[in-house]
Amino acid sequence: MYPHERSLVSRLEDEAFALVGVNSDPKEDYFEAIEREDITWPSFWDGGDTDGPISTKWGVFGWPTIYILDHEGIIRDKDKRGEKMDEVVDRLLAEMRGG
Amino acid sequence: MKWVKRLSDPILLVLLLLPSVLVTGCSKEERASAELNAIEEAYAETELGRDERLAEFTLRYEALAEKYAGTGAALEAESWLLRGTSLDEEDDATAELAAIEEAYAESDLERSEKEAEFMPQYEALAEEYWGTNAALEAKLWVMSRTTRGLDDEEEASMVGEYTDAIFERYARSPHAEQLGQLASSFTEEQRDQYFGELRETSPHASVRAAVIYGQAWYKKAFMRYGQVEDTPETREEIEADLELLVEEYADVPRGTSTYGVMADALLNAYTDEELGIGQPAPEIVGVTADGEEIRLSDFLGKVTVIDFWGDW
Repeated sequence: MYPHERSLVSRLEDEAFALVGVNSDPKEDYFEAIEREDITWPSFWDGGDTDGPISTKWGVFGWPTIYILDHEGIIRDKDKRGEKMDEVVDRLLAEMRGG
Repeated sequence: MKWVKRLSDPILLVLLLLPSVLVTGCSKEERASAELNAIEEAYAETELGRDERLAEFTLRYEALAEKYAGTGAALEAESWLLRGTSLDEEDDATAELAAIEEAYAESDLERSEKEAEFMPQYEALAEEYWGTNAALEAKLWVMSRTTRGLDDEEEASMVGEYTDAIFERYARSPHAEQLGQLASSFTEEQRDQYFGELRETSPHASVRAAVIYGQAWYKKAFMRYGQVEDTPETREEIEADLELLVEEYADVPRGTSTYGVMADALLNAYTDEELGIGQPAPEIVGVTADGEEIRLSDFLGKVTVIDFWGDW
């Protein structure tokens, strides 16, 4: 996960794109992970375990779980990873630019 | 006679009787507390092996709890009996586990090598402090690593063996609360068997709540991924368990939250339709690990990937 997300974030650095995490680790593990994996994007911190309020409210039972939103905040796709995630993001960015 | 006369003096009589009133009024507590201290000291110094020690001191604490029923010392003895460990042991085990975890976090090895390297330490801690909360945590750590990657049948059988051994020692312990997390490793049958037993028999509300929540959570999760059939009956079971938590276990703490709050969140989780493609993503208001407030709506105007993740 990490290398792909890192490259996506750095490739789209100057675009209207954001990767936002919802992290379920205890704080110390989270800080250790962002340092070790050079994670530059922000995350909601969900209370330190997988039973956190955000994951629970969103009915997340498996990790990672992915939602892809367009620039208007509409859910446009789910659970696409790797190249498939890139394709959806690129398509939505193109759509946004196209008006 | 002067002496007889003095004895009939009511004030003197009270003074004469007072010490004995005080002795009988207080001394039960005091004697109980002294005996408790003596047992605690003997426990700290005994050279008996783990199982003999547990058997021997179970008898001594039981005798004390019975003899001094109603005293504070008897309550302490009863709480010892549920754990079968001293508070010093609990503290020592917690400190040792923290030291192992710290060394683990600082190790530069690859994850699989690191796990292999630390496995004997977790096992040794579980063995030495069996009965403590930290030992159970260590045992569950070992279990999750030794069953990972096995095929389903082998995994179920090994999980069953671990769980039988754990239940033998922890079924009445307050530490059994941790067993709620086993839901993900259990087969549906094992979940019903082990959790069914705990929710009926555990004397601790925290344990009963943990397994009720574990059962509901996993039924809901497995239903989403098709491992449990989505039927009105299953939905009703889940709802009934969550409502039970809201009604009877609302104030029982779980992590930084309570079962009331968590069961309510699960009862009112967004539906698949609400999170469907084409729907506006619901707002998230939260904080970063640094404590900075963020909202999902901060990112409006950008194509946004939401990634629920953990470093495991």
